[in-house]
Amino acid sequence: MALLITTCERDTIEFSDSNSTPQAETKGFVIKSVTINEVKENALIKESLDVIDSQFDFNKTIKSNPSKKQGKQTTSALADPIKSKDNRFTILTDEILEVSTDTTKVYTFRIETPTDTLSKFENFVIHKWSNNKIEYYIYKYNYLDKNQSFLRFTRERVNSDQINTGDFNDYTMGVMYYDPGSDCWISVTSSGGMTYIDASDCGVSAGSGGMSGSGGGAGNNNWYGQWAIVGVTWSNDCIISRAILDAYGNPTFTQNGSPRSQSAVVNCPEGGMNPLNPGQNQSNPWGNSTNPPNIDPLHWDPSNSGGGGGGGGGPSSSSTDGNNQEGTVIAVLPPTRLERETDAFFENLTDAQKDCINPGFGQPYNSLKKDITAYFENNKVVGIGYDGPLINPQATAFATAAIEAVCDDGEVDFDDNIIYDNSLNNLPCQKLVIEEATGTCSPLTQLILDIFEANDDTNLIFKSSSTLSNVNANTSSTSSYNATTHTCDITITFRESYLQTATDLAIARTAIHESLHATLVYMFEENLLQSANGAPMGGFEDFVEAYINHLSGLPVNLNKAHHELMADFIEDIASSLSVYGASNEHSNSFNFYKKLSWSGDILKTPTYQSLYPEYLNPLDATTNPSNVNPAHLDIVNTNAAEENDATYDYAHPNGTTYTHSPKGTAPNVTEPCN
Amino acid sequence: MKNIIILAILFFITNSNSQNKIEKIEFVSEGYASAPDFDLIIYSDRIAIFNARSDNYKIHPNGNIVGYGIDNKGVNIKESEIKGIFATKIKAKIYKEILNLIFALSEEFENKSFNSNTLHNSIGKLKVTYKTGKVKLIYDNGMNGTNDLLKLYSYMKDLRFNQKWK
Repeated sequence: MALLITTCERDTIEFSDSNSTPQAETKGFVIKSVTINEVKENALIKESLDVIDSQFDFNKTIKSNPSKKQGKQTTSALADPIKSKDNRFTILTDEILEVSTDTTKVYTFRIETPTDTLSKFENFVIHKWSNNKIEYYIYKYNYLDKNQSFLRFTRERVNSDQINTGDFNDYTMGVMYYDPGSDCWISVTSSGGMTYIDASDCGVSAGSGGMSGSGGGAGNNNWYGQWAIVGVTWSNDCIISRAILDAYGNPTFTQNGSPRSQSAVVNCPEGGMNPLNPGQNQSNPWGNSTNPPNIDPLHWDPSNSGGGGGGGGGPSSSSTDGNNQEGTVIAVLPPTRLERETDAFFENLTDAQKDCINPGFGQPYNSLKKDITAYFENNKVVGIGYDGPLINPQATAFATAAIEAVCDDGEVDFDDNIIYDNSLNNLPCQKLVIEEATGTCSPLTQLILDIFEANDDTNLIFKSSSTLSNVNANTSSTSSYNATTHTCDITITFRESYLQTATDLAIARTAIHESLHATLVYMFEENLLQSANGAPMGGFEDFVEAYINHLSGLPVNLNKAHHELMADFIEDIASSLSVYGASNEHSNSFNFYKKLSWSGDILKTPTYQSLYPEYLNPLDATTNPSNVNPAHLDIVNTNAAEENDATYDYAHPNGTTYTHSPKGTAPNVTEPCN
Repeated sequence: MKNIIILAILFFITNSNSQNKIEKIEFVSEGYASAPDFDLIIYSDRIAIFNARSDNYKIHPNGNIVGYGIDNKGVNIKESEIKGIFATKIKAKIYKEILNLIFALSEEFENKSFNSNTLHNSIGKLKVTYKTGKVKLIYDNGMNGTNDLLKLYSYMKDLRFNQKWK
């Protein structure tokens, strides 16, 4: 939907919804949607853009994942934005409206985040005037009333020469219902889901035309009905409206059949703003000792009273800086439906959440707001005939969980629905290892990330615990419903002392190991391990049966079922780990990473024990316990060296002393990370 | 009449005692990773059997794995491991303490099963056979069921190293 403004010169303007027709020719001008390249094709505009180019960063903004994940750079949801050099605002180029006349062109872009806290949304507008002069503006829109029926704007001139100084104080103030800058009265009509704005009554207060008098008057060949109070502003001023009549006093209509009208905001009449206020003369709300009946107090001019002056209109300045005196048409790009839903999401947060997410304009948590906005963009529900919310409800649930986490000093990976609990904050370098390990570009980690990225109702949470003992880390066996965030959480908890001791390779291995657990939990709960008839898929029979028994409360070693299945993923874990290692300047053989992947209770599985029995001769377990299988010894001590960041020497009865030293590096306790 | 009452009281006490008399206590620990795997069987005559299956270390390891040999701090946890099947007769005082720990588990026996919502769990199993033939079981996935169970687990783990096993 497009929302259009005209300023001056045009008595009757009819607009078309640019979404319904890609190009709409109206009386005297053409409106169409264009691309940034089409904008640049206009030689003059291109020249202008070249000027801007020196001031604006035209490079595509690629949003880097803060976790520095390998191959996980994500393009911003709002593609090809143009960022101002001072980072004050970003111009979006995904939808551009061009309004052209024989001599002028106006391009309207959305601005990503309003520059003004009072703006509901903002547009960046390029005017190409008939004298080929180019001007840039930021149009700042907000709604006048609580019902969002009346739109108002202020306009800020952007001077390309001034943009470096950040001096944007060259304001041109105006109000859509009455623009003192252009001295235009602006009619607003809504029809068919589109709002038409017509500044057809310009210059009347300057004395160039008559002002409507009692019972209606005319300007620009129009006659008007009586003013009536139709709404109340946020500040409890009165919104008034009057019908536009033809020469015979009959209502006029747009081509869509809606009555044409003008609106304005004025001080409420004496006696209060309530039209039903007892004792108030509704036909003369402003009538008192100084104002004649039904005269708009803003424009009442005793010298012109008596009505029906006519005239008016004509060219009027559309910019109070006086650079151009011709009228033009401006297309408005209001917030998209996604933006409106996003706004509603933030509006519906609790006060505490609002305070946290946006403690002050320009304060740190605004980045979270941006992240959530981009996340919503990436989680739109699309489909032919779909009429529900654009933002996936599960995405709003995750966003709520994310706000809770971040406001509790945690961290959120919006790309993958992963939350890093604040318990990891005092171990920033270890947290980085976890982020990098689970973000490696390998089939297994991509599967893990894809699963949690694609399913907003299940969050993966990483945390650290100082009370966890005996294990390096642990993962929930089932997801837990979080009643606050309405999400299902699978939590991976690291033993704090492990994170403080182990090398980065051990921590990375553990992160991948636990993430695989989490993936299996998710897959079981989503019936992804069962075929259409409900039977377990091949290879998952024991696993599914263990889960069913576990959920039925029957004694079953679910841990064993998990690790027996995970023994089949050793190559995959090793592959992910090797990618992590390579990207962190570790040059180890794949066999080394494979040995490191045999860990935890995978060492107790029949698969491992048949491949690498502790004793090649079972009798040695009692008769010669030192005579351990060197291959088993190699795996155990490779793991022990990394997990404990220690060197092990073992004098084997075969005469060899096996030494295993850590190949990874224990992460620094504090930043900067090694 | 007086004799009849005394006889009735004696019968009640005797019957009550026999119902509470334990024939055998069996405890199984299936440890995760480096946590111990062992069985303890304690009979009413205080004869105890200890089956040290794996990872029964005198030096308590902290993490998932115990390396072979001496680490750079000079510690050799692996060397402190006990393996094999052992027996002993425990002292009456200790047996009584074990019985008290068992008697404190009435609610736990009612619940029978405890499950932790995590994967890397050790599992504890307790089976008490009474002289009447009645059997009570507890299955604790996570070995974190209740404080009274934790007291029993701790006691059982200590028994591995504070008795003269043969």
